[in-house]
Amino acid sequence: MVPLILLFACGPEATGLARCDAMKASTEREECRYAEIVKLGTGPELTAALAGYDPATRDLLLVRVVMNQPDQSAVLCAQVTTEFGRQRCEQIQGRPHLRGGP
Amino acid sequence: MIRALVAAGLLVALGCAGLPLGEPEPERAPTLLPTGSARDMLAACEAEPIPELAWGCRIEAAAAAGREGDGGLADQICRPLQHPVWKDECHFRAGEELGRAGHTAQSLDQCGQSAKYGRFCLTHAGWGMPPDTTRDAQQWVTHAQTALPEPLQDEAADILRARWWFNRYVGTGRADPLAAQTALPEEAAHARGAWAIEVMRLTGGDIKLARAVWAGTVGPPRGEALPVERRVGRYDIGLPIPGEQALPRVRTFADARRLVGQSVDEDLTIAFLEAIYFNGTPSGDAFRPWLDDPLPRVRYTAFHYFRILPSTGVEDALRRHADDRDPVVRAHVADALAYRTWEGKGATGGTRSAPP
Repeated sequence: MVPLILLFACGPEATGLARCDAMKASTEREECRYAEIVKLGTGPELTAALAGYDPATRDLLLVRVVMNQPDQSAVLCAQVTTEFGRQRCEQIQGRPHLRGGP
Repeated sequence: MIRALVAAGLLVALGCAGLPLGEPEPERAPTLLPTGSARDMLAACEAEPIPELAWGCRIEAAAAAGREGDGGLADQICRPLQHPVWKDECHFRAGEELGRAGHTAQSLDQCGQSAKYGRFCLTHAGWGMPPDTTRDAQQWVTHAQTALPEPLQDEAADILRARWWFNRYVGTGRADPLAAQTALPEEAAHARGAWAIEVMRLTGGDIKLARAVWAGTVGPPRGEALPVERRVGRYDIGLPIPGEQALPRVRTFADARRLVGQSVDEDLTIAFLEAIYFNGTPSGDAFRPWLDDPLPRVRYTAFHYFRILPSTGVEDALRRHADDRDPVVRAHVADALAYRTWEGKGATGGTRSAPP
């Protein structure tokens, strides 16, 4: 009886970023979010997905994307708002050759 | 049975609400880049759990190792990087900082590992070299031949010779031509170019006087030495003009290169014209007397600068050469008229600035 209740009690499982946000361990949560946002490209979908996060979390995710795709830094770095984000973006934006891609 | 149902209900309530069974860890505040010694920075990088942040951290640590003159530590810092951009960038940052700190051999070693950024690294490291001419340029060239991949070796030699001779003369307040006159054959054009910049600076751009100094009929001028940060000038990379591309050139400053004359006298004229531009003439008039020079390379150099600077009647002067019998001159004129280059639209690198 109890196992049956547990099996059918919950609705559909949280997916995507909502699933990540529910994770308890911060490292696991960060990795999960990053794995989700890299699927979104670097356009409006990404911007929309990041909109609900606090500035530090948003900039951490943006910086991770930028570090993997420095050629996208012009668009992504325009969205950072924290000192951390600005500092990391300066590392790329002051080096024009990095924007040529790998 | 009831107790089991209550327990199950609690599990469902917690689980379906997405609540973890305990407090979630707070969001981690991302850290700023470390400061301090390269070793301290490396320790901070090694403790960074997020790979992308660790990459950026290592880039800064490698630069610090370069400033400290420790190429071995830079190697240790860069080695774990696998990302194709950041591995090369790591060695690039270390290389340019080592060069700036005067550790030329170690700098070349790093540039040799910076793969696709090797050429940039070389340019930055070479032109960042401080004015220390206690060792000769050939030592650096020899080292470059072992430290760098074959396709970069000739360019390295050109940069290193140009920088060495630049440091030997430019901004020193001394323009004794003897060192340039006795330079190794493969360095002679670099030497003349650097000497020309300084002698033209000290003589107020007087080519006749500068020639007399070279000939020894007038003693070498002396003047105020410039602080190192002011030993810079204006340069123009220029567009490749058909017919000129195969002619020999040497590096003058940063990415800029000049034609080399077929005789010492011709080469001096070219070097003087280059010096006029480098030292900052505001008008193309300075180059007008050489537009009809019988020596093609002198003419090409004169056209190169005449057409990118404003002067009275520049457009008419260019049009008079539109049907020139020399196709290289015609190409200069056609490009200039098409883009009105004297209005600043075709000039590249035309600022008075330090090298990149």
